[in-house]
Amino acid sequence: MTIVKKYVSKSSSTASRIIEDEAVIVLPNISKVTTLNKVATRIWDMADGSKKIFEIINELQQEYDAEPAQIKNDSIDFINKMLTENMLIISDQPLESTND
Amino acid sequence: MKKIIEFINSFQFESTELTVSIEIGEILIQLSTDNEIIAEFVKNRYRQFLSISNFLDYRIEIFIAPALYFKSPDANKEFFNKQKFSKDTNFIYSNGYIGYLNKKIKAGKVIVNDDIPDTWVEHFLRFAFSWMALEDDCLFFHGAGIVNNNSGYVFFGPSNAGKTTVTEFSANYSILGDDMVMLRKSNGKFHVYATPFNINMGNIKLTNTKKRIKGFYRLRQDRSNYLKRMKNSKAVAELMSCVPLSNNNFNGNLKAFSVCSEIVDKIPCYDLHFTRDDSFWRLINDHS
Repeated sequence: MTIVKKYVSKSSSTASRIIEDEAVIVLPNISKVTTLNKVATRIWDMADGSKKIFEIINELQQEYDAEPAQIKNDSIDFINKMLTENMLIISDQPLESTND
Repeated sequence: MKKIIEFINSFQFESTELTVSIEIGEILIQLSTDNEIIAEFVKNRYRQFLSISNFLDYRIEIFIAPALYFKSPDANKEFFNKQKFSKDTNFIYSNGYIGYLNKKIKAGKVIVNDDIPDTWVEHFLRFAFSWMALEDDCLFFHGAGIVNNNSGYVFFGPSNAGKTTVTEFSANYSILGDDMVMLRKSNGKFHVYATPFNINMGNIKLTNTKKRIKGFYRLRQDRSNYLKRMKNSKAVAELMSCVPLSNNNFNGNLKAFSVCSEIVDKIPCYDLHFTRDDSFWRLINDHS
């Protein structure tokens, strides 16, 4: 299964806030703080475990004017970077909603 | 960690106990020692912060041990501080001291090397206050605090950003600190408090007071003066970078994040590009 068919969600070891359309993410275990630009913040916001990565990319392609291939490549690069830094996690199944 | 705590607790006072209470940013601790040199150091170094209040937050016992217990850092080795956390205990150690604080019993102990004991006590207290502040929902903050027109101005940035420099060029103002200040919400407003943990105050007199914060200024040494309002997301990250955080202090670091986020909601943060003179104050005053 390619990565785009996986579900993506925020790691439970992060805390984040979206301030003026930009996410600030903290990894309290290693005292690391990261800020994201607007597009990356959209990905972060949608990474709630209910969407597959390709679904997120599709939404971005509808929201932004850039070349679809560019959006796809940039999104996958960003998600891979966040996976490496343990800020995002991927799974084969959607996360169960905590609101049920 | 249990064995180390047992080792630390094996130290007991051998002669009359000398106690000194100090209050920094509304955190009150009592320091006890049977060593007259340490007692004198504490009384002198923290003389503006001595307190007679009985509402202690922590009692800390200080012991001196012969150098054989520790390996002091040699000139080529960097000094280190480390913290480890268990349920109620913050275990703090370096190459010159070993100690702990327990939030359940509101007490701690530290054993310092006898080579430069006063330096080790200060290092321990910096880390102790950093942790106690987070436990008390306030921040021990790497910044200079200066009072202007009865308001607090916080200048911040990493080492060598210019905190001591702006302090030197603010001789006509009250100085709350050139390196570390305490940030605390009081009556719904954030205030900056003086601390004694400073780098090089020279002839500048420290004023032990608190002031409502008017602005935060991230220092950038430059060839001209200008102010640029920071985006709030960047401001949170910049403020967080000046809070002494410890790996694995998950809850403490979350608290710091929460307090920094609240600060940028309420108080403007700027990038302050400044030249090495006092002209940056005109810029700040004109902007206020």
